[in-house]
Amino acid sequence: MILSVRDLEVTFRAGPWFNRRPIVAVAKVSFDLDAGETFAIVGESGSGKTTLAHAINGLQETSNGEVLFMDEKVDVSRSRAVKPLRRHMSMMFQDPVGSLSPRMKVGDLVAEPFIIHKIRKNLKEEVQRLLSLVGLSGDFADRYPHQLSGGQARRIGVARAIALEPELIIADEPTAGLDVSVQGEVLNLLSDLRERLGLAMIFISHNLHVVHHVADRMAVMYLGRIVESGNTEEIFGAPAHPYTATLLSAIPNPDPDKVRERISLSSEVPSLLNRPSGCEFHTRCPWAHERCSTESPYHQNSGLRRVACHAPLDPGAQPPCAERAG
Amino acid sequence: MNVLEIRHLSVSFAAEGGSLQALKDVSIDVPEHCIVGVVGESGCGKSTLINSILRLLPDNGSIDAGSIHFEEQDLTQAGRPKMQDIRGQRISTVFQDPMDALNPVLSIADQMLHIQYRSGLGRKEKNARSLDMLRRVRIPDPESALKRYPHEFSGGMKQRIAIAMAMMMEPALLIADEPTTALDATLEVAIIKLMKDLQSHIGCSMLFISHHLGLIAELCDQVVVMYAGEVLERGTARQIFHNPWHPYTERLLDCDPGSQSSRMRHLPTIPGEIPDLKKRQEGCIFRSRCQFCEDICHAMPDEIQSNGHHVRCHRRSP
Ligand SMILES: Nc1ncnc2c1ncn2[C@@H]1O[C@H](COP(=O)(O)OP(=O)(O)OP(=O)(O)O)[C@@H](O)[C@H]1O
Ligand SMILES: Nc1ncnc2c1ncn2[C@@H]1O[C@H](COP(=O)(O)OP(=O)(O)OP(=O)(O)O)[C@@H](O)[C@H]1O
Ligand SMILES: [Mg+2]
Ligand SMILES: [Mg+2]
Repeated sequence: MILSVRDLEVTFRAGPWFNRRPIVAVAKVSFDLDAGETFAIVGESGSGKTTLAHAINGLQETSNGEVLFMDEKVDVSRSRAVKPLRRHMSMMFQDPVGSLSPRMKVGDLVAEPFIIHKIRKNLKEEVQRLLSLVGLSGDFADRYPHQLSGGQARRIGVARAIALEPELIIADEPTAGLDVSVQGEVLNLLSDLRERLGLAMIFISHNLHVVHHVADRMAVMYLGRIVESGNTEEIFGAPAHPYTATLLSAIPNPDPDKVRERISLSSEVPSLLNRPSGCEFHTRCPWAHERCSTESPYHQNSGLRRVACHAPLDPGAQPPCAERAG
Repeated sequence: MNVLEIRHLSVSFAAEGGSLQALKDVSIDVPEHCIVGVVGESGCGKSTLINSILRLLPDNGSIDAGSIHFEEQDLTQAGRPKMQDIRGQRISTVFQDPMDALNPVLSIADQMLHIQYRSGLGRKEKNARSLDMLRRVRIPDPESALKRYPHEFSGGMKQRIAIAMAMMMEPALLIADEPTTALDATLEVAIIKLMKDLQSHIGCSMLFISHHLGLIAELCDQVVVMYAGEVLERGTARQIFHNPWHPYTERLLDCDPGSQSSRMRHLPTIPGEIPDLKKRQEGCIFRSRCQFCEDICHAMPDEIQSNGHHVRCHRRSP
């Protein structure tokens, strides 16, 4: 086991200064990751994925729980202890341009990890090698970040993340903004590294097609909690949590004549300042019954699968009232 | 009637070691009430196209040739005050990076007030409209969201706020550069539906850029396929997705993980490299990666058209 996350909680303070209230962005998240494994995290926008990733990487203070990476505790307050760990755990940020400092040239940005961790190498050669690995020609080294297209900036993020051949990459939306062919190249590259170096990966993505192809296991988050986790293929085959089923039913098809049957979600997205009672998904769940609004569900285990739901769905379950989108 | 008509547009950037031609001879129509999708490789010039329409090219970029007709004027000739008017009222844009649209030091409420400065409404009414827009893009707890600052939101929330701001202006043309990259599938569908509703309600046209082929298929009436700064093919969504004519379009569709139903470790790609935009080759630009490349491809193919389906490929020549 390379990473173990236990009951992790992250709390922000939100609201105007005279009325600051705590919001729990990540709540009681636990999971383990083996070396060489790819673990996908999917879920609603704002459900805490990026915050969770930052907490694992020691960039975000936590209010509870712990993160063990290669048997060492990741603790933000001890930045000296975290820095050497980061040599083995690198991060690809969600915002590709914003995470590159605008005054540095691409060549220096790609060489930076070697300099930070004082690794002696022929930096020029390394930069050229890494650029070509991510499908960019060598003369990109002389450009500034604002002279790159969105997808090119994303690839610089990939080059930086793989530079030191880490044990674990935390990739936050690594292929957002890439066309399908370059996306394929980046994913194949990560998959090669994983075979060659036993690289483990936490893969945060909204692209469910991609998750289906690359992840061994996956977790689905809703309002800061993991509501379902398990083997990727099993979850895609038969989602057990109603939120998972809703999410999977929404994937658009690359065919203008095949608009899918979609499960539609009722009512507003709940606020973290005012979490619903009972099962927090009950306000929008097409299958909800009375019990769901009062009692919080426990995680039910069967084999690798964990589901937090009072009445997990049977395979192929149809919602009580399916709506046709379009 | 076309709201936007781009003809033979060429744009280049001054760069170290020579000029880089980012757009070459690009012609695109956006008909009234129509949603036109643009797809193409990362770096093929989609954002440059938008920046040219808006006349927001960086200092080292210049329009070398061509015209951009919008509401009976050529934007390539329009002066700065004219462009500011157009950008404020007639064309609104959701930029690729939501932080471009959001000011980090102003609260969301203030930013949304600012963009309504021409509406003639009172402060109260403006705030009510902001609230309504935030609710429509499904921002939880919109009242408190108005008081918060951009860094307090997730990537997808910022994107939705940017969309809300662009739609508030009720423009004649809405341009969206990958507006949903940070949205989950259910939200993406909801936002797209909202954009479509608003588009038919306001009666505007839309230029929609995305790498998400499923989304393009579902949303767009017409599709433009770009490669290395050139338009290779354009037509209706059905023509492009069901009967692609250009080998690049075909390969692109094959690469979509959405069209592979069984799980695979290695995803399909298009082998070869994107040509160097500083040293453009003569002839067909896709030639070096095309499996059907022949001698004739060293000459530039003419554009061939039938039933609104345009393509530049020698294989389609009569
Ligand atoms: N600095 C902050 N201050 C206050 N609230 C914050 C801060 N950063 C994030 N949040 C809140 O925490 C929640 C989780 O945000 P996070 O960025 O982790 O979501 P996410 O799952 O990555 O979403 P997306 O898919 O849209 O990127 C959101 O409700 C967000 O508004
Ligand atoms: N300011 C600049 N100076 C020099 N080259 C630039 C500049 N801006 C963009 N380019 C180059 O012009 C080409 C087109 O860039 P553009 O941003 O339009 O691509 P795009 O199609 O939007 O790509 P993506 O899908 O990755 O966002 C790219 O090769 C890019 O590197
Ligand atoms: Mg995020
Ligand atoms: Mg772009």
